Amino acid sequence: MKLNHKLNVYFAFSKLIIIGLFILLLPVIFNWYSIYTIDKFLRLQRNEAFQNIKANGLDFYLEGSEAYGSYTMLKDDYIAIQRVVPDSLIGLKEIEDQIRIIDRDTAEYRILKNVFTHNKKYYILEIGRSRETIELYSGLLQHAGLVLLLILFFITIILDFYCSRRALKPFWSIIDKRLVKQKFPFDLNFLPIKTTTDDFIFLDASLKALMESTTKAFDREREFTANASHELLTPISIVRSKIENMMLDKDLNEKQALKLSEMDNTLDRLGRIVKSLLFLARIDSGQYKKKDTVKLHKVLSEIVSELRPMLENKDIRIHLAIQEDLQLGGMNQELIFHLFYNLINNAIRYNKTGGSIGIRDQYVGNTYRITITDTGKGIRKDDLESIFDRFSHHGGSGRHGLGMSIVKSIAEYFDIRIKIKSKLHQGTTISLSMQHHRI
Amino acid sequence: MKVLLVENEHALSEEIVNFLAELQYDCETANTVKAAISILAERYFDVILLDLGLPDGDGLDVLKDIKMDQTDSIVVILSARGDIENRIEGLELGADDYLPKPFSLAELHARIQAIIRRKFATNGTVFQIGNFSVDIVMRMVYCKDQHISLYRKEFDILSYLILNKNRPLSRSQLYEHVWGDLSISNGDSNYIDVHIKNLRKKLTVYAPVDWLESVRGIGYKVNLSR
Repeated sequence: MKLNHKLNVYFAFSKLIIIGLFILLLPVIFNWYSIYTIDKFLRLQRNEAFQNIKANGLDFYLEGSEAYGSYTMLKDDYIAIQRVVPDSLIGLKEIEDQIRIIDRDTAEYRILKNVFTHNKKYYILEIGRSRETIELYSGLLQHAGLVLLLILFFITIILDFYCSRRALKPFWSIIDKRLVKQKFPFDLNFLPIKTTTDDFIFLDASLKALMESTTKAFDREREFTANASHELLTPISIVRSKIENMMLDKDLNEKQALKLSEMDNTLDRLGRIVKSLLFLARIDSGQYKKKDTVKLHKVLSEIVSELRPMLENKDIRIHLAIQEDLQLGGMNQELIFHLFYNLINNAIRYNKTGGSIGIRDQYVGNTYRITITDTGKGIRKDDLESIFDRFSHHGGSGRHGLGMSIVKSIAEYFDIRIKIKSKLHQGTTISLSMQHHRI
Repeated sequence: MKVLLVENEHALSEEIVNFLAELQYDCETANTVKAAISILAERYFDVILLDLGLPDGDGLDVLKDIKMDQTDSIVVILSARGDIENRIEGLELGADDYLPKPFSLAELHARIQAIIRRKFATNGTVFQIGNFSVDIVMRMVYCKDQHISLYRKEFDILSYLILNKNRPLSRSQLYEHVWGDLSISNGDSNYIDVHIKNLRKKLTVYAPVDWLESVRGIGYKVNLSR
């Protein structure tokens, strides 16, 4: 769920709680309010009634009888004056709800009662208003309030959505420019994202600092490998040239030549170990660019054709069944060549005469898997665990034990999972799996 | 052929100069960026061998200078840094080749020759050996006008031996030549022997190949009377 949407859901939720609470309280509030206004209205009516009585005299209304009554046509309101005995007035409330029967209609009224004396006689004035009318008003008010509230609710939701989107815009911009679009090595010449939100300014600055420290560490590592490379390889280069020149000496006897050749071979081995270690360091520190699109079938065919004489020498049949049009993006041609060259070379070297090698591929879901199977002498179970360790020795002599470490490093560099299954004297199967969508 | 070697390791430059002088190259040396630029300002060199890690600066600065003044010169970078970016940068700046240390002197010679052939399309790229003629540029081998088909690596080995004729080349030198950067992968010591065996087999069908000699304990050599 997007942050913007989440925030809006929270906002809407909190508003709904408040509105719900308000709706629950609404009848109580409106009831109270309508009664309050009705009571006020009844008191005004009473004042008016007394003014009329004062002006016209009570007898004008009573016309000699003991009581007077008047009501509107629909019996919403009524007024009554009645002579009472004082004893019946105990516990009289000024305003209360009571049932009255007016002209055979029974209805509930809110009634104001007022006792007054006239010619030493007690009279009671009743002004009533039908409860039904009161409830009608109250209901009307409630509906109007609710509708208004809902309209306001939707307006605020929309406002929230646009405001939060606007407020979060710098955030998306940071994510996009700093994380999504940046690929190592980072381009550090960028301007801060424009925003007035302190948190985003902080985030942007933190990301920049992180990128700078990563770049620094990467540069240090690269400088180190370059320097180590120079310091280690230059002496080897000097000795090597000296031996090579000595070998050209015409006065050299055969014994000396042989000794020099042995020295040269040893030096060659040392040179290869150093170069392999530096190669590993460069892969592990990410100095190879991942920007090539590799046609796997082409690479494998090339390797097989380069190794053809070795295959013929041992009479090994090779079966290459890889999709011809398959292309892998984000690779490095050189490293991928190294990876497969090492594996196929091993499959030949440790194979038996007259054996075979199979290179196949398949999809398992979105996983693309390549398997290289040989019919060689296999790897002992104890050795399988340490096969990728640097300088581990098993099998043949004279290897520097870095070939499989290089394979592992390259595979890890491209998120390729590598698995080895082996049966002694029967053969080895190496599988490489990577995430790749079938075309 | 005039060669300027820009290299600050005295021991190494001495060996390179000795080796190239033997092959009739006319060598001079410079051990700093400053020295190299001042020599280059005065004279022309056909080949400039350039180390990148110089005490007073980067060899690439010399390369920039060369590419402004002596555009015809062949430039081969010799570096122990092995930095990939550096290599790409060097080639982009106009270097003709990049030879990582520790290189073999025979390889250096072969590379220079290859660039000369490529750049100037010189004559004398067809060598006569016994009854065979080997065209280095067209990568063809003939025996009395009959074409003999060889695998790429077989031809690489043969031409490398011919270029360094009358001198034994070790298996590791040959392996490094044919595989270049890949030679760090644990190469099969048998690899060169297999190729030589196949070469002999393919060529003997047409004529004797007694000129391709095995040198005990060392490697192989091509005997070519001068």
